[in-house]
Amino acid sequence: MADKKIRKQSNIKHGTIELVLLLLLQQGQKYGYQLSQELEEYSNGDYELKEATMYPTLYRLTQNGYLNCEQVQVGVRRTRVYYEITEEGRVYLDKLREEYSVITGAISNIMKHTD
Amino acid sequence: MDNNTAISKYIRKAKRIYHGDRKTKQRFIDDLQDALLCFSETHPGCTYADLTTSFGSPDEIREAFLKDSSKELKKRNLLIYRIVILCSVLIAIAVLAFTVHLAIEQYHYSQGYFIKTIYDYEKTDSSEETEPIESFHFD
Repeated sequence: MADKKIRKQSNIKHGTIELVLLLLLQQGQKYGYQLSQELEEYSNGDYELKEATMYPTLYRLTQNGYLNCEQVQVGVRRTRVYYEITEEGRVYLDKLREEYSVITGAISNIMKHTD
Repeated sequence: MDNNTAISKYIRKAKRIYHGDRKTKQRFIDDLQDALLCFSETHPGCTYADLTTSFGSPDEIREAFLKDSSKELKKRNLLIYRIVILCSVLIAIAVLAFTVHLAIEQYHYSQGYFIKTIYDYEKTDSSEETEPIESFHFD
């Protein structure tokens, strides 16, 4: 349990937050809670992303022009923000994917040689 | 404690702890409120402890925001630092130039060289170059 907890808060995961969020958003417009639920579901609970970490990342991606956001009124005094990937965001996602492949490949090779 | 009370408490604490940009804060509170309400719809009867387990404590929120904004803050501080340095250099150059000018003038004055220039203000035609009409030279 403790190992799992460490894994959930690891630095490696922190470097992939942008990648996983953009991967989910390339499927279509989504809101924050939906993103965190899908992350948990698709990773079988191994990739847990707390709102405190997810929202600053979403705001940064929006600020950099990789995401568009739309506010929708869903109830009395309740606003929901939908995030959508932009063309720039897709280019950035491709770059992140490539970086991820290179890094994971390199680490696998290192592991093979050192195990 | 019913759902709404727990959500209100969580939002209140998050608001109190996070002191960032007002626009970002409002947006985050809206996002967070929606997420908490979504959670309470799927988890009826959830308590404040349930919310902190699922969403993290309000302290974690502050830390996450601070960590994220620290890069921006560093950039801004660097920019301010550069502007201050530039202004200081410009002021130093201006002071130095003025001092040098004053020293030269004082030197000339001490050598008995003094030029008094009187312009002819009676002239109204500005197309003509104004020439000093009187010049004194003490040697």
